[in-house]
Amino acid sequence: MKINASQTLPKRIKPQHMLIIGMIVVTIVLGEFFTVHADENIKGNFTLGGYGTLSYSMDDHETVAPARDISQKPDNGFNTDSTFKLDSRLGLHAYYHFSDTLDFVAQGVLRDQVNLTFLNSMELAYVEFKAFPQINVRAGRFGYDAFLMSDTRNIGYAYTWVRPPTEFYSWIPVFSVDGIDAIWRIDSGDVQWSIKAQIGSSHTDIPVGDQDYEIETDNLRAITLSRQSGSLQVKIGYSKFTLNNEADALSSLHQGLGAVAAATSKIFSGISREAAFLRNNTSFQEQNITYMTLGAAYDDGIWIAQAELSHSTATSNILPHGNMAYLAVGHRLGDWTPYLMYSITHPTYDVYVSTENWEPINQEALQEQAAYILNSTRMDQQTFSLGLRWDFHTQAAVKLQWDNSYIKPYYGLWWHDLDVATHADHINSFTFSLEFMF
Amino acid sequence: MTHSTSKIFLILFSMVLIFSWVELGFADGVAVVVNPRNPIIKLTKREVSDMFLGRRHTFPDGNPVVVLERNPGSQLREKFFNLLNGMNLKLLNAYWARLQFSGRVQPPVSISNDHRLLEIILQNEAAIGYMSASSVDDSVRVVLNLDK
Repeated sequence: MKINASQTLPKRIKPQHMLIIGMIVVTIVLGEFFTVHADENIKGNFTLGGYGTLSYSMDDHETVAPARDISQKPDNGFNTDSTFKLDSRLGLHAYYHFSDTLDFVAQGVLRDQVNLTFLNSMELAYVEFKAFPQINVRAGRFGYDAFLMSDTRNIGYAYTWVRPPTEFYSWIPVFSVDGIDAIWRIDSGDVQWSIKAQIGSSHTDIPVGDQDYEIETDNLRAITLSRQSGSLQVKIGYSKFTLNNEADALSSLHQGLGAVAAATSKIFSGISREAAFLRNNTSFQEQNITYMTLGAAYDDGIWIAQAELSHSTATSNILPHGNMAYLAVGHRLGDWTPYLMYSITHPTYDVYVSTENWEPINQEALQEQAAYILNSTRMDQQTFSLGLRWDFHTQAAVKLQWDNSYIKPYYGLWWHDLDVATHADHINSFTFSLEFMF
Repeated sequence: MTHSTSKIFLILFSMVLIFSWVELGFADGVAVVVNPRNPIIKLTKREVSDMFLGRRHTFPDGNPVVVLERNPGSQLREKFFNLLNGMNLKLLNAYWARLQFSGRVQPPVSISNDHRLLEIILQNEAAIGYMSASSVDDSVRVVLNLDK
């Protein structure tokens, strides 16, 4: 029997409150531990640390709810207009320096996701072999490193803004990679070059309809070239992977479309072709995604600027793809850093409009459902953000951020009421975050 | 107030000023030191900065470098980075949080005192560390002096 945790708790205490209380207790305990035992950590053999975010967000629409990434599902669907869960998280990081050539790293992150399990919470678990001074090889689970921020998405304390730009990072379905990667660093005068290659697979649970879908990727490959010169980093990357499995929630739809395609192939060839098109373009299994990206980050201690451009392709239109970009600029005034950010994503395919009349086969509902599902992941929006970071402590900061998003149909990054999806709208959201590390 | 009383007061006041100056660490520069068997004679601020920020992993001659840090919250560390590249502890912590928790680079080992630092540097030709300039002795080579 599936137990609903909320039913076992008093009415006033919700699971998210328990999460927050848990985060605070763990942080206080760890803070005490490290205050007392700081001297033990200097030996370089074993260190334990971590980071966390306590965040509260609200928006001005009762018919939509934001998602920081595709692994989240709001408790009350689109009715959630304020929440602690969107950005709050707690990470615990362990590092064991076994020898000059061998290190072990493990990191667990407690964050809101549709299927919170031990394995899903393990962001890092790898052994690093320093074969040569400039070549390191890692095996196990490590961060996906195809973009500037794809391996730092959780670490709010490390970046200026509240969250990585959602237009750029929300739909990347890979958080950690299980496999092998290698980095080759080249020091050339005052310039450091690095080439990194990753191969492996990944697992990410996302909500599809009323069910969970574990996106399994295979043949995942990523290669990046980075150039660091003082305050400026430039990075280009290419990544490709294949989705292994199908979402169970779509199986009846696929059966129906397959049956229509077969049954109408000789009589209504147009309907058959459209059914086959819809079958393929609502499918995750054996579909490929590629990302090509160019990014740059600048930080001279006073000015902060970061920008990325990316072009993605996919063999199925249910997998959002197109062009993504963002630009963020901040200026440090002592402990205060005001910043601006603009991010945009635009698909390279059109909204799907049915081409055939399915009335003769009495399957208009199936056609409409398939077209809606195909369009439902479409991401076509832009967000302007204005924020302020205050570093009030050497290991803690507060952030305030206002976002104004202009969303065109079909709200692929939002949970929403069905009626909302077909018209464009502006949504304002406001977030307060406390970031810390220990 | 007699002339001699004024003199004593002036001397005492000067002593307090000097004591405060030394105590706050402003009277002394920071020296970046290596093992004397290391062929490197001099390093630039940029090279040392890149090493201590985990960007650079070799000396200019191509040999690997082992970076020795000081205690994270120490005044010496704050002063070192302030003189080296203008970074304060808040910036440094956010910077290292990104590298450490992403798994890109783990922070260098932290050393709590000069004695232990010298001990490690003398054992390891690849080691590089920093200490108050006034604490440097002949057992190590100074490759960069950061003045106040």
